[in-house]
Amino acid sequence: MIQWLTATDHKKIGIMYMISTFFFFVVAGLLALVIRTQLAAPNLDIVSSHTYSQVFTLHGTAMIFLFVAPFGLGLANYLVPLQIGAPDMAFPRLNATSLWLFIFGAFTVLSGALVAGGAAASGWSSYAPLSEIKVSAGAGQDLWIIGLLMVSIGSILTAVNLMTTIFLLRAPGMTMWRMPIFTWEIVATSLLILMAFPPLASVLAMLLIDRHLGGHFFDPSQGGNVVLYQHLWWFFGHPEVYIMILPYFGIITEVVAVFSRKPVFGYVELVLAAFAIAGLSMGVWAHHMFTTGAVNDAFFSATSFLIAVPTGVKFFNWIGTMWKGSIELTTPMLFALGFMLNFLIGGITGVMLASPPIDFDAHNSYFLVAHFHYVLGGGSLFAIFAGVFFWFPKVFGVQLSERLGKWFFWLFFLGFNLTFFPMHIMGLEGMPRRVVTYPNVEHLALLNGLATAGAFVIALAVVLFGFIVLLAFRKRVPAPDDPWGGYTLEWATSSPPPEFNFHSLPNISSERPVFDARQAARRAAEGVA
Amino acid sequence: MPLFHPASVQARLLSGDWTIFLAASLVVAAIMFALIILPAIVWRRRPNSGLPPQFNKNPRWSIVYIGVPLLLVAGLFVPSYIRQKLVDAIAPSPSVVVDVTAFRWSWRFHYPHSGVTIVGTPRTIPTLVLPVGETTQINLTSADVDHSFWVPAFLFKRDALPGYENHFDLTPTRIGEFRGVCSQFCGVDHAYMLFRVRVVSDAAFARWRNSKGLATL
Amino acid sequence: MKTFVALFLSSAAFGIAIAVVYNITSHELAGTFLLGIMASALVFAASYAILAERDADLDGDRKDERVGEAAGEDLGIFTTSSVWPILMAFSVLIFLIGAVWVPFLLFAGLAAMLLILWRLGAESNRTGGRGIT
Repeated sequence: MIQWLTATDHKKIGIMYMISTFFFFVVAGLLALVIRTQLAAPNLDIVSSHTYSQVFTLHGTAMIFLFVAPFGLGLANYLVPLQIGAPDMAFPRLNATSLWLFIFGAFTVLSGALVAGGAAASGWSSYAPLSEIKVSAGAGQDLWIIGLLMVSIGSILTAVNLMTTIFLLRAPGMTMWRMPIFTWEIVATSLLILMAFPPLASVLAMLLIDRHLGGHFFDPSQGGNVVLYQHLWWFFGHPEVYIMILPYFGIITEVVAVFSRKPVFGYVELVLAAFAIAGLSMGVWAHHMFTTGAVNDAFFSATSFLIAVPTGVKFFNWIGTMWKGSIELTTPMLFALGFMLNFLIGGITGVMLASPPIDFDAHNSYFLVAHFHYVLGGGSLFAIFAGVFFWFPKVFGVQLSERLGKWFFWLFFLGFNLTFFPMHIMGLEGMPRRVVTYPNVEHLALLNGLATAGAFVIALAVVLFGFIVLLAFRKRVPAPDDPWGGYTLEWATSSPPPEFNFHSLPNISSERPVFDARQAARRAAEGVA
Repeated sequence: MPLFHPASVQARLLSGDWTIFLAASLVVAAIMFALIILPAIVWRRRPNSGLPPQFNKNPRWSIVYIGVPLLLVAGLFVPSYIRQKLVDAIAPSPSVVVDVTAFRWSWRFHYPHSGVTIVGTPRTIPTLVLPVGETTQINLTSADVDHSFWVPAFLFKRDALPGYENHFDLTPTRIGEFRGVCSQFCGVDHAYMLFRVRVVSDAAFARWRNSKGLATL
Repeated sequence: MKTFVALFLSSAAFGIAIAVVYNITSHELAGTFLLGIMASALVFAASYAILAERDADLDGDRKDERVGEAAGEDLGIFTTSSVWPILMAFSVLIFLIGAVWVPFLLFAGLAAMLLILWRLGAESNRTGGRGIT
């Protein structure tokens, strides 16, 4: 046990990240069930309005800051040194410090639920002046700020660690242009973290100063400016959503290539697209602010439309990878396909929202809620499960049931779409977001009922997933080094890998060193025969 | 659905934008869905099959799938920008002016040229009375935290921000009563911060205004 | 290594470009300031990258490197465990709680952080490592 508290090995740290983020996923998911239960029918009174505000605040905060973003970093922690043939990260003790900052910060955020006045209740984006001390006096808001400051510092340090590791610790022959796409996406993600998290830390500090140290940054009655909060928040907040998708684009790329038995199509384009997305993502932030009347709508609309192009390029690269391939519909591949279909929908509604005339109606409605759940839930979350089913045998040395995995996929895919597709229509019928209840107008009652039903299907699916994991540890079917016919270096070592990762490395002369080694061995065997 | 029954001149423009984008979206979605699902069916692995052709790029197709989306978004930007400019435009001499102040948790509607003021509560929902076919300029602000003034029938919302005054025009085209909601989370009674928009004939509006808001409509 | 330089150089160029375009089209102070600072950070990083690349000679950059040739090369010491990271994280928590509620804890947390940095250095010297990380 103490071993885990003092571990500096990237594999142990990666596992701790991924397990703890899944714990927060379950917490956030239970909060979602509270939301959907309260909204199952109009004018229900299952929780009080103030409780409800805390619930949706913590749901969003936990899903974004304590699950989707850090899971990607945790997976990167585990995989990147393996994929580049390194023995560990460049700064192992710094790595562990990041992990514990994350874990302590996460529990600090959630601890607000236990204090007088309850947890933070001004939404995951915590707009001032609503989050100022005059309006939200409880300690819960401060614990939220402190917790997120810790999580932010941890993320920045991890980004530094990942970048240094990737630049300096690549194995002989592992040039930058032979690295796996997942690792490249992590370079882009790390760059984004370095650009976006300091503004977050700043706005959190400024809020803290306003709340407790006599500041007036966001108080107009004292010369402050409320739109400034939004600028600072979204200058971080928009890159954050790309931080939450780029690693997952990487997972999808790896999975699609292996299960199509093709090389990655458009390797260079995928890399350039990742950086085009990262760069543009720093210039779109005020598309979250079209309705303030205080920003240049046209500029941000243009950049937001542009960012769709490199994203589309990635889609065509995945399609090209599958094209004329030999496709095996394993559980990871099913999740990858589900990702593509769901993320396509989310991406399309994103382009729609990038048009200010559309945004004037859809902003802050359930249409928006549908959009971001399709990209984060239908996108990132599906990619997370693709990655889990793909790399679980490597990490834990035991196999997950493929048969049950497929059931899990279909149940989850059905539940997800049943929950979130109706929300597009709810928004178009005039339902705003962050409401504790809604009137019985148009079809809102039916649509919300469907969404609630879907949410419980998702819950059932997640229970099935838990069962699949427990079963794997019960049956302990041993996993070989390379159960899938993989391409990249993590498949060149045992499952799980030994301390310092590799007893020996294959020669690296392309972006598919394990594939090349397998082909060479096959040719040698045929030559002998 | 309000999208199919726009109730103002501005809403008709906004609805047009929705139509363009929905049409483009359906076409793109259909093509992309097919391209994603097709390979999984057509090239499903057959038992004992060997390695498929290991091609990994196609520069000619690259030009297509980079160029076409670029042209598409550039093309979509134009009608979007034009409509945005038209909807944001403020008429130089509106027929009616209303100062709207959002506060926790209702709305205050003040007609400066008529001396009529209506203040609501979550239990007594205030009504914004507007003449049909005429342009009303709304001057919008907040007395405390961020709020947002959304009338789904007009397909339009604008934020009510403390320290800011937002100006926009509403030119209703239909007589009737429409829902209004607050669409920026503002605390416990955010969901109850409702209002009504009542669009009436010119004559009815004149009567209502001259009676300082007391005449029944 | 040249890729690393290209990455930071193009990022810096893009940062400058978007900051300038934004300022010209929007005349909005907060966004211009944020983009400007971002561009400055990228220029800083690009400058370092150019200087660092001159002395760079990584095995990982050699295209024809056979793994066997680099076998036995010393990559330095990697720690296997340390108690200081979790204690450091805890000290940061104490510091922040102190900043908001209990001023004494602010100083206690700060003192703890400095103490731990000192111990990290000592641990590194003991194991032949490269510094406090």
